[in-house]
Amino acid sequence: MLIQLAELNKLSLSEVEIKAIDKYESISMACFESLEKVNAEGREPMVYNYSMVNVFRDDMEVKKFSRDQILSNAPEQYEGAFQVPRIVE
Amino acid sequence: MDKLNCYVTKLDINDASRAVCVDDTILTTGMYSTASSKMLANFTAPFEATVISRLREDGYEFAGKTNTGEFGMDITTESSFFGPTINHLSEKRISGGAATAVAIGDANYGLCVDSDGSARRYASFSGVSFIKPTYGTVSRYGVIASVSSSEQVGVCARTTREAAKLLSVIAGHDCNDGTSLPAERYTYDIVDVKGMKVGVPVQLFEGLTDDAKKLTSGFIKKLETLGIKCEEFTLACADYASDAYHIISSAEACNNYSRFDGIKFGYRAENCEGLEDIYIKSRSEAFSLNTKKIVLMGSLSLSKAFYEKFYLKALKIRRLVREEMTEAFKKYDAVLSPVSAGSAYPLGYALDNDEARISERKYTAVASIIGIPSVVTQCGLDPDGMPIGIQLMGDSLCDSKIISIAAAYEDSGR
Repeated sequence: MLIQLAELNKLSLSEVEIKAIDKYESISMACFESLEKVNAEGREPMVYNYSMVNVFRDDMEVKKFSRDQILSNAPEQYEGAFQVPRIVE
Repeated sequence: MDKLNCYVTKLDINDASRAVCVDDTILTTGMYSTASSKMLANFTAPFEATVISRLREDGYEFAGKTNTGEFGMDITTESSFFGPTINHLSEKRISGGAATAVAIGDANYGLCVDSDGSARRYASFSGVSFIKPTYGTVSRYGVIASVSSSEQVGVCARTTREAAKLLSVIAGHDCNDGTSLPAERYTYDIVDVKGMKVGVPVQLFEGLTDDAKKLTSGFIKKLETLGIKCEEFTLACADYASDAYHIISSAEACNNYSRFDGIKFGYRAENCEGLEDIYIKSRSEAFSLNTKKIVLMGSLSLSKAFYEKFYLKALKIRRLVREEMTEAFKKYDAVLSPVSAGSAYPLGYALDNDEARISERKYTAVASIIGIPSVVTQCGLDPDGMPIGIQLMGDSLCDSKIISIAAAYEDSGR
């Protein structure tokens, strides 16, 4: 289970990490399971702290950042675009 | 010289009384915003947070970017890529960067992001005051997101009055934050506390050290001398709010950290063979063990097998907590709670101590999970000379009441 979750989350774990996370998982699962005895019958899930409404704004183009600003933190860039390894042979 | 390791970036200032130090989880321009993570160790934001703009426009200057746990998601700063912040009162104990910088007088104010209570704990450990305002009153635009539904920018200072002064500058609606409440400004007037009632939930005063018990009892007696009636009561949600928050916070953090892929910004591992390898190596090399634990538990609770059983149940429990606290605030102007079982943790305490990491959150989870305001002030010092803090929780948008109680207590000479 842990290895599968790690794969889904694009994580590779060392043996030491697997052991530590395994222990953490056991403790966490005990906490999670303990909630079964709490009666929340009839309650709607509360995603946010208030009843949120959609925030609408006019459909206007707002240019906040230049291409250079957006690319300034790119680990690698090429001709004004993010660069990644070849993914299509 | 930053012997205490308060700062990720330290800046020169002209006037400490107008200086603010800022958690490194808050975006600033012209300097790094690392969230204390290797993932963002070289990241300079292209825009600044609304809270920073508001302070700059009001003439405040910045003393630096301060150390937190990685992404602000640890009970100590030991998961920081830059190492732990050392408590200014003991080199063997920890604290947080902003609280320490304020305690030693580097800056009059600290801007801290409180999601799981870390900012409240650091204030307690360093002997300063801290206000976590009502969720939605301070913009989160430009805060590096971890637990979006509960994290809130708060202010630490030497006194609650000082913290409230700065809070009034940063609070108010921001159209860039979809969870921002509508009022343009908020004021934090100090009101008369005589005749107020404070609820003391018995469950939250269990498990304290003897020193913490003694000091918190002294705090309650002091409140009574100020004309505040304190009354013990049973708060059922105190027993399970922390476990529900554990699920919600892990799930949200797991989603928020999925943006760190080594492509658009942040750390990219070297010698990768293909795109998938970039994702895996970059995330595996840059995240701390603590963050990996959070991501995996979040992913677990959102998985098909456990989504309803854990995640949806936790969201229903959040509503139960809201209901119970709403009832409590019909009787009480504030609800009192410790912030931690005792004084500042020793170095290394939480590194391999998952039980403590989880159990300590019980004191801070109630305010976190439903976004109510909380003010941390100081009860006194334990025999080792280490501060022990306490928090007053208030109903949503009733920040002034708890600020007033803390201010009255501090004015009375503590």
